[in-house]
Amino acid sequence: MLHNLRRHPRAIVFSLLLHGLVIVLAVLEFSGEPVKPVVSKRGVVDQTIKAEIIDQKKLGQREHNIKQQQQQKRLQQLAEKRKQELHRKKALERKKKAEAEKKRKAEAAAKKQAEAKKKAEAKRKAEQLEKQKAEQARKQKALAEKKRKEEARHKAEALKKKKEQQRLKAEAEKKAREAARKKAEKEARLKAEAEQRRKEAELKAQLAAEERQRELDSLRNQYYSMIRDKITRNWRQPVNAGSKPLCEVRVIQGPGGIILDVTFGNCPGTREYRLSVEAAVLKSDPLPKPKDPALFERNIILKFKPNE
Amino acid sequence: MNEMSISHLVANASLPVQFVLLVLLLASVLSWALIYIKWTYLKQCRREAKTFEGRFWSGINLSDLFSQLSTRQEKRYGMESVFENGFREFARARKAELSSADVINAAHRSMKVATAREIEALENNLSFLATVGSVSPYIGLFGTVWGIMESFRSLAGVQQATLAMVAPGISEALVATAMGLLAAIPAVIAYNAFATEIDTLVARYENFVEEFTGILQRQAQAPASTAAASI
Repeated sequence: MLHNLRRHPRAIVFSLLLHGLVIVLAVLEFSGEPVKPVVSKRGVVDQTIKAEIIDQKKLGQREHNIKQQQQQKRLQQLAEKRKQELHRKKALERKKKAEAEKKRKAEAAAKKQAEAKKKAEAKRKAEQLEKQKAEQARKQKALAEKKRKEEARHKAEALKKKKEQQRLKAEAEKKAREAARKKAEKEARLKAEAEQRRKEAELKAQLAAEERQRELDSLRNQYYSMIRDKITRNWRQPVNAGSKPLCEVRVIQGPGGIILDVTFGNCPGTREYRLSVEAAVLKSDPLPKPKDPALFERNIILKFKPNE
Repeated sequence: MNEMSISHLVANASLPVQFVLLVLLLASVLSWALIYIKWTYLKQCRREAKTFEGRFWSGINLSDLFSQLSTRQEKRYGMESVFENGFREFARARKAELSSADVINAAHRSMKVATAREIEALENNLSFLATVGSVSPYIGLFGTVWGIMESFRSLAGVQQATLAMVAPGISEALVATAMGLLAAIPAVIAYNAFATEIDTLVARYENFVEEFTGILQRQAQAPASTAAASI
């Protein structure tokens, strides 16, 4: 591309000129003030000012009028005042005369009054004294009464207190008794429960033991029958043994069912018969093992009865 | 100078933004230069094709036409080049006494190759325009994003942010996007225009190749003595 451009210098010049033009245009365009929203506030301000001026003019006129009126009023008032002054002086003189007269009359009256007053005072004093005496008596009486009442009240209160104490005591005793009773009851109950539990446990244990015993018994029966079966299977009964009575065999076995010894208990029968039984037992060595090892017995007594 | 003028904004921009602006300016300059070159070249090709077709169909003797072309000093391009290559190959094949089908094939092949070369010349550097057109908006956007990031970062420590504090920064940053678009739009328009133009030219060349092959076929059927005869 560069090679191509170098071959065409005119293209570069053209491009540069174009860009220069565009840039110059852009700069010129933007160098102006950024456009601002124009708000003409001036008009509004003028209006308000005008209005104020008009108002002031009107106000001046009104004030002038008011001043004139006031002046007139003041003049009238002054004339009136003078008139009143004259009236007042005349009235004052008249008043003085009347007052002198009054004073004289009043003095005479005062003298009379004073005398009357003295009399009344004396009377009042006597009355007061009497009243005081009566009052004192009454007061003493009231005091006595009050004392009496107080004492009575004290007595009553004391009585009441005593009663209250008694009541409280009684209550406390009652409570104590109640508590004791409750405690005893609780203990008894606990004891009874413990007893019950113990009994139940015992019963359970007994039941379990019985159960175990039963189980063992059944297992033992099983064990014996297993042994008997095995021996019976191995028993070749003699053909001409004659009577075949019940035969009791005592087997001593070692651990694992190994037969150690075979002895005959009550076994009536021919010698052949007994030998056949012994052979059968010996052939059954080792004897079957019990399901529960606790059932193992060293000595086993078996009773055989040949089937018909 | 005014506070918000373009030159002030550019001068005040951060370094990456200035770099982006520079890159975009360069891209714009180059793409306009290329547009100029391509424009003139395509115009030339169009004119050449027209004049050559006029001469070719004017009934001139093909050998004469060929000798005229091959003796000219200037470098031949466009349809002339295709014709020259085809005819030279045709003459050589005939001299080698190949069968007529082979002769035609050789000439045709040679003309195809010449056409391909011409197409290459036409489309040369066109991809640069496409690249500028598609990429420069992104470059501008990068500059803008960077500028906005900067202007917001300067806000970080401020208690009361006002619009007046961010606005200059954002305005500054947006210059980059404007620049990117300014570079991209002419490039895309020019690319599309040139692509259509080149397509029509190529179609014209290929048509010529087929027609000329037909003529050569007719000549190949004729005896070698009349090979140089007029069409």
